[in-house]
Amino acid sequence: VSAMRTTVLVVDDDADFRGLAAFVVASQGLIAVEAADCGECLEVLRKDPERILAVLLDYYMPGMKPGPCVAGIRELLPATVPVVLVTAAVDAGQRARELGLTHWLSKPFDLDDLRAILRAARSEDAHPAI
Amino acid sequence: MWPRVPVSVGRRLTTLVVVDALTLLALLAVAVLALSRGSADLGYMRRYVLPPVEALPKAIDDAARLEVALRSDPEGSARTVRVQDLIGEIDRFASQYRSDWVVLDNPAEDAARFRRILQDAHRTGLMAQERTALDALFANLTHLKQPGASRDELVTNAAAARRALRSLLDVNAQYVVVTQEAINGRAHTARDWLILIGVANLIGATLLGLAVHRAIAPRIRRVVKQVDRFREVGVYDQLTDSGRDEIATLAHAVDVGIRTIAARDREREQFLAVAAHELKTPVTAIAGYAQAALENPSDMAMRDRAVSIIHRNAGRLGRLIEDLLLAASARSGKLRFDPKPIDLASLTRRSVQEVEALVPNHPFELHTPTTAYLLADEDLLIHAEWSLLSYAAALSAPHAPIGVTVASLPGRVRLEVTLADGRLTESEISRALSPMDFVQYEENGGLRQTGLFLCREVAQVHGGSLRIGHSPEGKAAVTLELPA
Repeated sequence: VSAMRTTVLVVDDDADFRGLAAFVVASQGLIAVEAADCGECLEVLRKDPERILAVLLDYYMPGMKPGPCVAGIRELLPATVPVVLVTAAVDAGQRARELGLTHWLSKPFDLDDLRAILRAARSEDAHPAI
Repeated sequence: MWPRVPVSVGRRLTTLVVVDALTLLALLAVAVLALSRGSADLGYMRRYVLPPVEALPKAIDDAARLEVALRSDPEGSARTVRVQDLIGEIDRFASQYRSDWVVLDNPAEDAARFRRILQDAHRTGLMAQERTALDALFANLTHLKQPGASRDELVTNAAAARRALRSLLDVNAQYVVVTQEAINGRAHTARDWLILIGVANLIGATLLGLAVHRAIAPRIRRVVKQVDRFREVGVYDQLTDSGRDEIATLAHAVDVGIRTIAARDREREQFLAVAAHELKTPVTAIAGYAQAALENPSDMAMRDRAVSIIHRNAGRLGRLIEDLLLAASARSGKLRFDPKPIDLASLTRRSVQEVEALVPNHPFELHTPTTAYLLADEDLLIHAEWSLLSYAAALSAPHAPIGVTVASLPGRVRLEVTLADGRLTESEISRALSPMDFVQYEENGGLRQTGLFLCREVAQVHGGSLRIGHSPEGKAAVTLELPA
């Protein structure tokens, strides 16, 4: 089942960022699915949660607040699938901890950092820790 | 107890001053009374008590010389000229004493006053002694003036008259002592009163001063402590003072001041956080696409797309920086303001035309008078109109008409933009007016953003206002009103 996780869900209200993230995801041989807000994100997850390798989640988005959004994602995805907070907020780490997330990227970031996170996700997916 | 009573500080201090002033008046009154009484007593003593004491030694001397003259008279007639003169001197003295200086039965005011002094001193017995001595003096003088008396009888009468005079001197010496004691007694009484009033004032003023201190000092210390705490660690704790006096007013003013500063600090931090967030978003796109293009030099499609996105986000960044600077100027009250006569009707028609070209899915229904002149900064007003129209487009459903009405009213000009969709929530209204907070939306394949914070600042710098509410039909409406 784990070999099927090849999709990265990019959730951000900034279309340019979604495009950039999708390009990096594709360059890693993965599939990017874009969502402009949390509602769209949850819709995608409900349809096909088995294929999701990671979620790149923005903090400030119209609609649902980050807390309930993360809770909704966690209900639909196993804990082994990383949810990465990608935000331009000043204190990205603090906000990630508040949401119970262990991965985050602070905008602007080096694309290699995103690639490293994707590689780690794929590696974890291939060799899950017991 | 005093601090809990709602008495003003001014009234407390006035009470203190009034108490001190009254005490000072009492001290002055007692001192003046004592001095005037002392002066009267001295005058009385000089006028009534001392004269007989001064005159008596001479009368005694006359009586002694009379006695010697009578004893040395070889003829024994005792009627020499000298003897007669001496008897006459003594007789004149006795008559003056009886008319002017005798105390008992003397109708003179000074005598009556002295009788009261003797009564107060329980020395009325001296008056009887004086009467007895005076009677004896007159009896012996009568004998001395009678013809036919022997020399021995005359000598005896002269000696008796001298003793009577001596007795009068003794009585008058006692009178002087009694008078001095009375004067001293009054002086002591005045002194005691002065000391009593002074000590009472000292205690009273000290207690009042302490009460005023207790009522003021701890509260002022509390205010200063709160201000120090805010200055040193930037923590705002509400400053409460339950009093209703000047200190409470001061504490309230300080509390409002600190609260305002704290709120401004928070607002500035929020402003910086939002500004940083908004700036980082286009920077992320620029940096990311630049890196992607550099990493894939042979991918021409990627390069073209990156250049296009970088170009768009650079423009977005430029607008953000401009808005940021405008917002900073507005926040510090230094928004550039160059007013000149402007026709708002004409300006609005132009703005609607320009915005409509960018958002063709949003039709505008424009209602303007021929002209609506006002004194305003054209650049700022254009910025405000663009913000308003973009905001309305962002929140309206496609193809729903957006109402734009310009009205020229007495003393002011109004621009009302009615959104096509329904009501705005409080949260949406608040967000629209937050510094650097934007409503983002996509139009014609591009991302747009708008907010009303700068629009409100523009209104305020013109002395006008910006209101977000609802029209009578229940549609959300934003109204910009400026003085004409």
